[in-house]
Amino acid sequence: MSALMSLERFAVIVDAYGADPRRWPAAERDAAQSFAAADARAAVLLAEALALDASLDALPIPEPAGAVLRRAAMPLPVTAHSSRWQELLVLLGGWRLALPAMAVALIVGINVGSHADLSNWSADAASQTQAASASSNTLAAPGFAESLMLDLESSTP
Amino acid sequence: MMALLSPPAFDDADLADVVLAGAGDRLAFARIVGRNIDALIRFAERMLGSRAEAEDVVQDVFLRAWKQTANWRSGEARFSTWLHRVAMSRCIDRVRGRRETSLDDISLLASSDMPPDHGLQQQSVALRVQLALAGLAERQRAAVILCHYEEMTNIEAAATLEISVDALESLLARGRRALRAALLPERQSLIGDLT
Repeated sequence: MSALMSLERFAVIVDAYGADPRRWPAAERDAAQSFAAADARAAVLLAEALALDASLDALPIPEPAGAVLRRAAMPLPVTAHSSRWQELLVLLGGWRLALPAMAVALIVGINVGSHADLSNWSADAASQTQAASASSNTLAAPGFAESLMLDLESSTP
Repeated sequence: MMALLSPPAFDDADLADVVLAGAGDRLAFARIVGRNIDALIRFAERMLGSRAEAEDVVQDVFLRAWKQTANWRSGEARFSTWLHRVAMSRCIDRVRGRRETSLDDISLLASSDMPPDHGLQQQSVALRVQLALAGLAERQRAAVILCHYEEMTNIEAAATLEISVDALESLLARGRRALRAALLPERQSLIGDLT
């Protein structure tokens, strides 16, 4: 069998694929292993390749994908091939950047919006309440907004 | 449009699900994700030396894969080979982008995620290996990762890189020689640390 494998070809295989026969080309694996067993020159080549293999194996195996990434890898369930939102997400830097950015924007928006709306709303509601009470002059119990306004007015210095 | 005129010359574990996903079946696509995501994240993390970047790449790969399923032509390559090809291309784009924005690989790799259970000596050895890998030309790095770490056959790796098996062997040999040269001054230290 070793006659099918030259030293030159064996050297090319070990140089490219390393010392572990499992990584050698399937079609030449048997011949190369026979050559290695029969020819003393093969041992030198294998020892050199084995040292590099051992160094490369010092690199830790990356962790498997987590649940968040598995979900992020799935298409959005809008329509079969409509994924403009997902494209936008990738353009924004992926879920890792886009989600925190959207969360911050939402919080800032709510804060700004609620302050702005409350002051406008309180002014509007106060004038409406005053107008309503002036025009109808009824003694009906105030609604929730009206009672809130009355509270606000009573607490105003 | 899917055309299955003749069976492919190789087994493709994803093919049936690719056909279903092409018709909008999300469960079939989830199976494709499940079968391939770990290999892709390993490949991308080793290419980039960064978990966060690898996750972004993998997400991008599957976004593109979802669109590709409807147009997939069986028989040319395994779907997993195509996924690796896209991942490699994205990784190379990112590595080149780092250079253009003058972010060096070294600083990124130095802060890369090593498992906390990895001892200090092992971390040191691993970092040296990672730096040596980062010093390779991108396609040499991809070839070494595919053949050594992912244990792809030479035919699969060559298909991923879209080159002949001879060209793959040349890439691998040059890559391993460069790694040997990069690690040679520290060979004794490496051996000492590992024993």
